[in-house]
Amino acid sequence: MALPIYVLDTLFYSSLLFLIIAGLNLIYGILRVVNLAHASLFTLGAYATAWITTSLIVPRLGENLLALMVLPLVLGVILVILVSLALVTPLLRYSQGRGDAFQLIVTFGLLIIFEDLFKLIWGPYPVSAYNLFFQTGFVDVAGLRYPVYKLYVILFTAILALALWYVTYRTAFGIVLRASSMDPHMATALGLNTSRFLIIVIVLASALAGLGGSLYIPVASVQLGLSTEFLVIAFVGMVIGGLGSFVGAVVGSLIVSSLRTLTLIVFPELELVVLYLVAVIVLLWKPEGIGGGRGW
Amino acid sequence: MGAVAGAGAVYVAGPGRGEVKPPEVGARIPTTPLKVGLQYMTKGGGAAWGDPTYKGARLAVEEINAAGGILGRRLEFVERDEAGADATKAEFEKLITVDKIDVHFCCISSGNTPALAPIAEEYKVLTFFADGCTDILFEKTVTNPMYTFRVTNIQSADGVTAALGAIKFFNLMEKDKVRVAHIHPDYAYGRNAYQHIQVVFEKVLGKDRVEIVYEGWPKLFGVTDFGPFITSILASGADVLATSLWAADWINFYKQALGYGLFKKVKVVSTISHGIAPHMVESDYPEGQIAGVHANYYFLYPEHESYPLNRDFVRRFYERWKEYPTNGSEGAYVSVYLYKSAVERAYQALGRWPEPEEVIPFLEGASILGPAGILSIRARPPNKHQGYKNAITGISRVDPKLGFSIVADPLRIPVERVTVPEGWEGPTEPTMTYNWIMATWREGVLPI
Repeated sequence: MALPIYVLDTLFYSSLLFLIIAGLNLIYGILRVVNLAHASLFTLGAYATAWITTSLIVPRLGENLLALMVLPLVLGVILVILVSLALVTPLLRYSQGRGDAFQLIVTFGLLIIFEDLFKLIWGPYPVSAYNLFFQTGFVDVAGLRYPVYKLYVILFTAILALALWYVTYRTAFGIVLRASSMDPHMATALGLNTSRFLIIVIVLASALAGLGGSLYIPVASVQLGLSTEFLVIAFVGMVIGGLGSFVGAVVGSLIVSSLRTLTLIVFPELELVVLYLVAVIVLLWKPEGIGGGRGW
Repeated sequence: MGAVAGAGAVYVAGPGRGEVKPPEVGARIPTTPLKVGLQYMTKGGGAAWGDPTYKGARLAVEEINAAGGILGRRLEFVERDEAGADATKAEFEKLITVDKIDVHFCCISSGNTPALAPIAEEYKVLTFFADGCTDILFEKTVTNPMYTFRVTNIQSADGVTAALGAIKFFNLMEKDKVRVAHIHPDYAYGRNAYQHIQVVFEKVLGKDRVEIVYEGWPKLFGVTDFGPFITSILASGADVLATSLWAADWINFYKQALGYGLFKKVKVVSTISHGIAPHMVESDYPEGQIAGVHANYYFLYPEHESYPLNRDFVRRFYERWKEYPTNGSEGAYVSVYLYKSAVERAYQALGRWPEPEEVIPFLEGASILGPAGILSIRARPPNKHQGYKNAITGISRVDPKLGFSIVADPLRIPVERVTVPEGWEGPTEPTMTYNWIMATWREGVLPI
C-alpha cells in the first residue's frame, strides 16, 4: 500500500539532491574545485525564502498561492546569486589551480563563515515557512494522503533538469561548457573568455543550490548545521554518480535517494553505512562514477 | 563529612536572597576574579537546545556579578563551544590548562557528559552539568564522583514520565490492546527513551496488551523529510506514537505529520516536544497530545501566582533575552546558584575561601529552591551527585494569549516514583531505573 509513497518520496529527495550535486559537479567539472561551502548556498536559499515568505509576502499578500509559489523562490534565488557574486565567486576563482589543500581550507572556512552568519542573522532556532506546503493541499495516493507540494517539486525539478540537459547538449553555451570541463586549457587557447565564463558557471551552480533551498523550505525547517548534513550526502552522490558530470548528478541523486529510502524502511540504523559502502564499491569498481565522469 | 554538611541545607536560586558578604578585615578571600567556564552547544543542530541553556547560565553569572559576586569575587566567564565528544573534551582541557578556570558549567549532550566527567575528576575541577542526562554517567562511567554534579533529571525519568502521562491522559488502562509505534533519534537518548517508555507500558498495562507495530530510528538531525517514516507509521495501524525526537527534528516531524493527517489517526506521546524554546511550538501544534519537557521544567509551572521565584525568573529571563526559558535555561541557571550557595555556606563554616574539595560536602545532600521547584543533590549511590526534582508532563494546548502551544493540565509526579532510589542495588544494564521498575513495580498498577 505504501510503495507508491516511498517512490514519490525518493523522487522528492533526489530532486533536492540533484540541485545540490549538479552545482557541485558544475564547479568541479569546470574549475576543478571541490566547494565545501556549496551546500551553504542551499541553506542560505532556505533561510532567505523562509524570511521572505513570513516577513514580506504573507504580511502583505496573505496566503495567496501564486505569490507564495513565485515571489519567495525568485527573490530567494536572486539573494543567493548576489551573495555568491560578492563572497563565493571571488574565493573560488582565487582557489582555482592552487591545490586541493588550499581549496579545502578556503571553502571550509567559507562554510564556517556562513554558519556564523546564519546564527547572527536568524538565531539558533530552526526557521520554517510551511505556508506553501499547507496551501497546496494533499491528494490521495494509494489510499494515503500525500502533499501536492512534493509532487510540484518533483515536476519542477524534472523540467529544470530537462532544461539543463537541453542547454548542455543543444546550445552553443553547452558546447563551451562541456569543452571547458574536458580541457579548460584548450578552451582558453581557442578564445574562450575564461573570466566571464567562470563567473557564469559559479553563478549558475549557486543558483541551483539556492533554488534547492527555496524548494526545500516549505517542507522542512532550516537550522544551523543543515549545510553539513546535505553536503555529506551530496558528496556521496557525486562519487557514486560521477564527479563533474551532469549525468552523474542525475544518477547519483537517484541512487542515493533510493538507497536512503530503502534503508529507512528496512534497517534505518544502517542508512549512512549503506551509502558509504556503495560509494566505496563504486570507487573500487568504477572510479569515474556510474554516470561517467568525463566532465560536464 | 559526607552528606552531613549539605543535608538540611536548602539554598535559593536568584538575586536578592541574602548574599553572604565577608567582613573586610581578615576576610581571606582572593581578590582575583573567579574564572567560570561556560561550555554549551551554541552552534550546529544542537544550538536550539544549547543556546537557551547557555543563556540561563549567563543570566545567573550576570545577576551574581550585579549583586557583588560570590563573597565579593567577580565572576569572569570563559566560553568555549560544545560539539562532538572529542572536540568538547579538547576544549574542556584547554579551559582547565590554558584558561585556568575555577569551576565549570556545561553540556547538553549525553555523548559529552560521560566524556568530560573523568577529565573533571582527574583535574579536580568542580563541574556542573545542566543536561547530558544519560543514566550511564553516574551508573557506569563515574560511579563515585567527587567533582562532578548534574542538575537535570536523569534520562530514564523522561521515558517513564512520558509513559505514565500517556497511560493516565489517554486512559490506556481501559484498552484491550495498545498498538505502539516508536520513532526516536538513533543515539543514547532515543534508545533510553524507547526502553523506559516500553517497560512502563508493559509493566502497567501488561505485556500481552502492548504490541510494538513500528520502530523508526532516524539519525539525530540527519533527516529533514520524515515522509517515509510518517507513511510507515500510518500504515502500521498504531494507536499511540511514542517519540523522543527533539528540537528541529520534532518541529519538522510534527509539521509534516500534520499534512499527512497523522494526528487524526494516532495519539502522540512525546518526552520532549515542548522542551525547546516555548515559542517554537507554534499554534498549529495539535491539541491533546502528551507534551513532554524532558521531565524537568516548563516556564509556566509552578504557577506564577503562587510561586514568585518562577515568576521573577521568567520575567528576568525574558527581559534579558526576549524569549521564555527552557528547562535547560532553568537547569543551567540553578547550577550556578547551587555552586554559589555551597561556596558561601563553606565560607561560613571555614572562615575563608574554600578549596573545591571543601565545597563538595556542602553540595552533597543539599537542596536548592529554583524556578522549577526544589532540586536535591543525591549524596549516596546509585547516581551520587545526580540532581532530582519532581517530574512534569502535560497535554498540549494552544494558549490564545501567548500565541503558541503550551503544556497544559500539568501532571506533576514525585521524582521518587519515576527513578531508582538512593541505596537500591541492582544491575545497571540497561539502567538501574529500568531494573528497579522490573523488580519493584506491581503489574497492572499505575503508580501515580
